[in-house]
Amino acid sequence: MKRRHHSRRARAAVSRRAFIAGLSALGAGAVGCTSGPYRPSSPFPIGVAAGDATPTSVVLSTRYVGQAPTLRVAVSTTDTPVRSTDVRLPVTPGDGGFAQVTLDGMTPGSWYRYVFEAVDATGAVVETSTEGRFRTALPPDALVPVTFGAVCCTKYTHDFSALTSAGARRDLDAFILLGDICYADGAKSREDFREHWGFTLDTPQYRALRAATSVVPLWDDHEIRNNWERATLDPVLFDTALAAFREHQPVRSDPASPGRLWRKLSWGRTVDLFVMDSRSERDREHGHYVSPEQLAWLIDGVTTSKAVFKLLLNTVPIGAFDTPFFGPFGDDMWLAYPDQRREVLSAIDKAGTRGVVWISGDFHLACIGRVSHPGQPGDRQLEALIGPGAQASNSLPSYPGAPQWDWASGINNWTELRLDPATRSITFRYHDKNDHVFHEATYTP
Amino acid sequence: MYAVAVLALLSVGLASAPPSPVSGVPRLALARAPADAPLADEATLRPGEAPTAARARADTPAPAPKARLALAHGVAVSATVATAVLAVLAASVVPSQCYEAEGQPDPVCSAQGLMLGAALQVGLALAVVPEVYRLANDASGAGDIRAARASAWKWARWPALAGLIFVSTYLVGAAVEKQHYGDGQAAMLAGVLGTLASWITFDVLTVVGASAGYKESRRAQP
Repeated sequence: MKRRHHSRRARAAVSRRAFIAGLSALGAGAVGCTSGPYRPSSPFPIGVAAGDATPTSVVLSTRYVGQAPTLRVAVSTTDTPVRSTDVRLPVTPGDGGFAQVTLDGMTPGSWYRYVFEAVDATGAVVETSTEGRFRTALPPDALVPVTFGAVCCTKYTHDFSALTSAGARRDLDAFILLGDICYADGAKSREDFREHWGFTLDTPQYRALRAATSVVPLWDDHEIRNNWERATLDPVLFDTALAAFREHQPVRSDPASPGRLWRKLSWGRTVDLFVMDSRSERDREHGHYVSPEQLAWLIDGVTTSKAVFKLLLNTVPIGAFDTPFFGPFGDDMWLAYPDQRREVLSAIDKAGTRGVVWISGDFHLACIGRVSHPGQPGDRQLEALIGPGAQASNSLPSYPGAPQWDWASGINNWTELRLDPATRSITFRYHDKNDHVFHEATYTP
Repeated sequence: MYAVAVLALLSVGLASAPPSPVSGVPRLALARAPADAPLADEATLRPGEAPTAARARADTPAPAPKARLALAHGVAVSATVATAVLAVLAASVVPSQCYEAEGQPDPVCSAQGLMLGAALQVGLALAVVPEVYRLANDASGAGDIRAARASAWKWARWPALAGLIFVSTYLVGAAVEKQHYGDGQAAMLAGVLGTLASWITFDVLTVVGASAGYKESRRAQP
């Protein structure tokens, strides 16, 4: 695996962070807090979002809390503002005013714009959402560069300004929301979850980001509570949280397996995105980090993929974070499920699959390096941790470093991933809240 | 956690501390006193000299009123916690600056911060805590603050030494960690946990020692 590495040591304007856990509570005084219950800021409080784009289809979603009886979506088939002559489709909001619609029959690799309109009984438009954009995925045989954005760990009590520049970008083909997007810890009822999601998405940064391009949403532990696993979670709480996740994020549902969140999204022959579900199928008693079905799907999909790049969207890192400092967190990682971890890493190694990149989050730090120590399965596979987008940085006094890891940082960020199939290179650019690229590195996995 | 640990240990320490754990302190006072000094706090009894009744009374510690002693204890504990907070804040400055410059923590910077914080706490606690026992002085008697400080050091010097060793352990671990990720973490972990335990023990024993030294040196006013 070749890499070009360029690190810019930024004297970034980060908030004060303490260096050990005992100090962090004293030092990190920048934590804000919301006051009072959530109140929607507008008739379309969480803006609009497009998600899970395929070459010909996309899922659009919004929430409408106004008084108009009817909702519709207007779509511009060119990357120009929606006009009155553009096609309009009726949308039926569900409970809470949440509306999702799947558009089909679109042109691959094309940019579209859309708005949701609230229509009164006379047919007049009384309220209009902000305008959203998305690009349909590339046609199956396309082999052109693709640029994604990614973020995780955005707690609404923290400063979201690191997301601002991502929402202003017009060239991101899609944006990966890699879990812990909403911190709903403690929520029990649907209304509780909606409140947490409202605080998170009813913000200028998320409204702009989700309107700028399509998203690829994943969930992780804090969408319910810290470090949950399905086998020990109250099933009612799980169903409630999953429903809240689905009504707030445009996630494609497979009619054959409506509860399943793991899925594959392809952008031509440039990249296959393996969108994993690292939470819903955990079963510690049987050593399952994911279900055997998901594991088989992942291994088969990655090792037989014809795409140049295979991005494994993983939420919780698979890397060998096995040092004493990470000991207390070991139970939540792939490392705690050694059989499945070895199985997937060995299978990819054995197949000689190139272009594999694990994209992970959760740790409140960004880093890039090899998954495993030399001589162990996965020692040539690349893993990049992204985030945190809006969270306290990891408070450990030592971050991952050489020789396994090339770089690490705890600065709040969003990550740009540029995939160039011609050179088989992937470039990571980490943007801070001032849109300063504080780290850039290119690898040829 | 720190405050809880200190208070819990102090509740045991202050209640069970022997009246004179520091045999060296009165002797220091005796050595300083002139032979013909009046019989007061530092009344002398030369070796071989038969004690008179007055001298015997002068050499017996005069108990402080319970309310005043309790006040002094309370302020001493608060002062210890306050110095610890100050030391921790000071200790966080160095690693915070390194963090902001590098975007990630530097183990050696955190070791420097730990050293600074521990040193500050030793100095501040020994300087401040014995002084607050002046609050227990009144018309009926007064204690010797120097004796209280000497007693505090006598009680707390071993945890201070242990703290020095653990901070050094952390520093060595940090240096190793900087060269090869993961290799120094065990030493750093042992160092920080040991430092924390030493720190808490030092704080508790400083208060207990200062209290014991004060009570032992307290004499009735002439």
